[in-house]
Amino acid sequence: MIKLDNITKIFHIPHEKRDTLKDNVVDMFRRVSYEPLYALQNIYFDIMPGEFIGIIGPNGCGKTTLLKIIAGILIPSQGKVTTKGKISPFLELGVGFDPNLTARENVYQNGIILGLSHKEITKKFLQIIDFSELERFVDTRLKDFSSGMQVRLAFAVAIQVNADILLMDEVLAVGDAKFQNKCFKVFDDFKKQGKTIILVTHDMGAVEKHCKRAIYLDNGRIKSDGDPKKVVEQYLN
Amino acid sequence: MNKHFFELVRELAINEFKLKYKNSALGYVWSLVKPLALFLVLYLVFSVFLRIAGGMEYYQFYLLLGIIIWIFFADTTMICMHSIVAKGHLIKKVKIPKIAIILSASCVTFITFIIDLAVFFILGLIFHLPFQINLIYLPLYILELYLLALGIAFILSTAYVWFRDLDHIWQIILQIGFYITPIIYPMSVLPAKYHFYVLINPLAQIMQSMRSSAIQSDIVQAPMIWLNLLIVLWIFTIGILIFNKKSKYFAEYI
Repeated sequence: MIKLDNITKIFHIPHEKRDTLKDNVVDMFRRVSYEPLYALQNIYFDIMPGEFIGIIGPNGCGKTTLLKIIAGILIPSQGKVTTKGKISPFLELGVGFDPNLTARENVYQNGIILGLSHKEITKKFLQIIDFSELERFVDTRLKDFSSGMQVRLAFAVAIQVNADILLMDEVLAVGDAKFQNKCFKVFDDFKKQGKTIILVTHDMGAVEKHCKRAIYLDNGRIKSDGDPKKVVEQYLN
Repeated sequence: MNKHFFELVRELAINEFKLKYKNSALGYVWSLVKPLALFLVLYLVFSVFLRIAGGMEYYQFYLLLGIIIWIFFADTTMICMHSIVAKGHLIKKVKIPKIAIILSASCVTFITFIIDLAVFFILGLIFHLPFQINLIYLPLYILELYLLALGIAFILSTAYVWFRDLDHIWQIILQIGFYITPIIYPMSVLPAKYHFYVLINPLAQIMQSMRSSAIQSDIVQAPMIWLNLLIVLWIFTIGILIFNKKSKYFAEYI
């Protein structure tokens, strides 16, 4: 369960860039002026266990910021997030993947970063490799993989994370149709297990087909929230 | 959490170690070459050409140990300072304990340091260094050195997120520190009245104390050791407090 209570997030965007020593010395006594950017404004909503929610909206509307606040990566400027159950700590696939490490090494590093234990990864290793269909490339360095292969591997690790709430930011954009279907099958399984999934995407078809609820964000505010078909329709017009 | 935290630090450290030497033919040997090369240059310049050693016995070992300790300190503070920003892609995308990043980065330099020390002691055995009874305190001094480097690393890595000039500033401070700390010169070349000011630097005291366990050089007085230990603990505590207070904002400002 997730409860967002009046969440506001303000980023301070400096008007001038002052990164180097020269800038700092020359402008030392002039104050930097900041422009507040309201990434999210007064967001209220509740998410019940087992819901599959799609978050949609134009670029820069605050979708990723919202996920980051739910995951605890960013701290809201105002308001309170209450959560029950374990939240997956990540929103993108393959965080911590290093192109110079092999698939095997990356599975371990990525898995541990996502909160799995070494033992669990060893136990599930074959399953991960099997799901990603990369049996022949276990000891190949990641830099020799295509981006599709990398996403498959990353997704296979991510679904092993035993969280009650999964946050997914644009995760399926790279995979082919066959793989996307496989992923949605996994999501359906998760739904049956009572897990909550929050999916940020630009794929309206997927939202209409799989989500039970959609939230349309615009300029940091919730424009509409409810039945996916109606919300998508409102967004597209 | 605790077991997982340990696994996270270990995994990050192991992979960092692997990546550091991947694609290099000599691999780990490079981290031995670095102190030895510096040693050779300094030995030639200061002992053979300038004769600063003043006929000190075992000056080579005095110098080598000083360099090994210095390189550990300089590398740890420098690498840890950059580690948070360098791992920005992780911090922005996953909720992980940020302290694990600093610890894993420092693990890599610490392991290198221990291996360098082992090489030093093996050389010491071959050349019959007059090892002293206070060799038993060596692990304590190593711990003190690690805490000092870590404490400074916490402060630097936090400040570096907001203030990138620190990279250049810290390089200059390290350059000055190299000569303030008795690395190349024996304490005996300085007038006795300055010894207090040189030794009130924890790094200098740790260096002298570690040397006194292997080479008969001047032993640091106990009050000085306690005073420096207090300074180290103070720096470490301040470092941890600052890091804990600010680390939750890292994702936003990197």
